[in-house]
Amino acid sequence: MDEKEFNDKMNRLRKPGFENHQPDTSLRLAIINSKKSAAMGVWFLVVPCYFLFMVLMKYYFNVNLHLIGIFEDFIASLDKSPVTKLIPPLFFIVLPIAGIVINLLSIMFFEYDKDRQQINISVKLKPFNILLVLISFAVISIFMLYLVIENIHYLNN
Amino acid sequence: MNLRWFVRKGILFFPVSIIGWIISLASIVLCVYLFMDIDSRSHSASDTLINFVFMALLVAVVYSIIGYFTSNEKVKE
Repeated sequence: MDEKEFNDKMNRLRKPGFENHQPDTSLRLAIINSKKSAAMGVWFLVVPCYFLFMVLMKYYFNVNLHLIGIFEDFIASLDKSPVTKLIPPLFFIVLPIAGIVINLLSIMFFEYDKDRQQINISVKLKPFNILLVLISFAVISIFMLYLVIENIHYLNN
Repeated sequence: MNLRWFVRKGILFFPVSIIGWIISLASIVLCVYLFMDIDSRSHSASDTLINFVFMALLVAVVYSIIGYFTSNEKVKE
């Protein structure tokens, strides 16, 4: 690049101005880092999704990968102690709920308007975080539905 | 609490301190032990792998939870 070309390029650069720039009326800070929350949301979904995939393979595609049987034995061994009894609901219900909470907190902004006595809630459109929230919600719904149906069946008998 | 044992890259947490390395090595040792334990009770290679993956995921989730709380990452919005 010669000197003339460089000078022309510098002359064409857009100068910063104040004409159309309105200052932000409020500073919005997310509570949690969104990328970190997304990473954690993925890990929280890995175990239930793996389990659901195995169930799908066994009951819909008739491919028995033997995980269900081993998993039942594993749950039965955990049920023997009152402390370890809490591990399955932790991985299948509590962690996806935690995933929803941290991902929502990372994309939602809360602002209290003192004059109007109202709380303004805004959501930043981050597709990956929103997708994780939806998948987590679906996973929890499936397990809750299973629990309800299983208990109704048990009560009827 | 201002801990910085891990640093996040993508969805993975990498150790950056001695405690972080100890936790990482302990996780690897636990995975190796689980693999050997499952392998001694399983009937085929696929049986070993399927069950090992499930247990390894449990270990990875717990490791990531530790990484999440001990990686000091600022909120950038």
